[in-house]
Amino acid sequence: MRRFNPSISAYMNINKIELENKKEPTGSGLLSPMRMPGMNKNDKKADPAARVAYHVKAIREKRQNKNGS
Amino acid sequence: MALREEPLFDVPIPGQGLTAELGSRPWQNPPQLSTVDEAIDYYVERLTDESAIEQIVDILELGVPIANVANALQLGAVMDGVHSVDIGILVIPVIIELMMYVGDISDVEYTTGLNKKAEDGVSDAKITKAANKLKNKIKEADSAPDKIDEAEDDEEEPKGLMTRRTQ
Repeated sequence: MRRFNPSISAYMNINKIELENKKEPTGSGLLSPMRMPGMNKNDKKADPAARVAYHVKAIREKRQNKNGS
Repeated sequence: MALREEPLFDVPIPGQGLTAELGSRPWQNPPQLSTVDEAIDYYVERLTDESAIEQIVDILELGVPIANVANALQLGAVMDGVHSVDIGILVIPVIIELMMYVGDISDVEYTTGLNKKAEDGVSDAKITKAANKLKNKIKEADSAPDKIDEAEDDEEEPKGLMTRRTQ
């Protein structure tokens, strides 16, 4: 029987994370919400899982370059 | 199942694991590394060390799945109080990818342990092969029914004292 290994699901799920931020249309009027640095809730770099995904992506790219694929 | 003749008393009693003083175990204290980035740096440093690479290559050559090694690594670090369980789970993909990278650099054929179907014991090809063998055996048995009849005819008559006499 196959025992549960969290590393399998962790690795599979990290591939599902979308790393690109979607730009939301923002108004430029006087009453439009203020944009302050660090206030962006959709910032992927604030999410630990996304940061891991960035690292994984970087290592994978290097590995694939080494393999020539 | 064989029964044990004598009861075994030299084992921990239920709840004994909770009798240690709170905070005496490494995992009961605050972890040394509290962020994912710190944990990643820790593993990258450890796994890219020359002696570590040699050990990883040896393990990969033995055919141990990378996923299992990664899980054991992070679990060991949790037990040593290096990082928390959550961070350990989060960091697993980095460990796996790093080990795959080490394997590729060293030209070692490794098993990732991520592909369920291919590495989960018996493959589909083996099952089909076994099924075909069984089919052939059944066909052979069907084509030679005379042998079975002969075997039935050769049954020896009972010769005991209590057997019925046939006239």
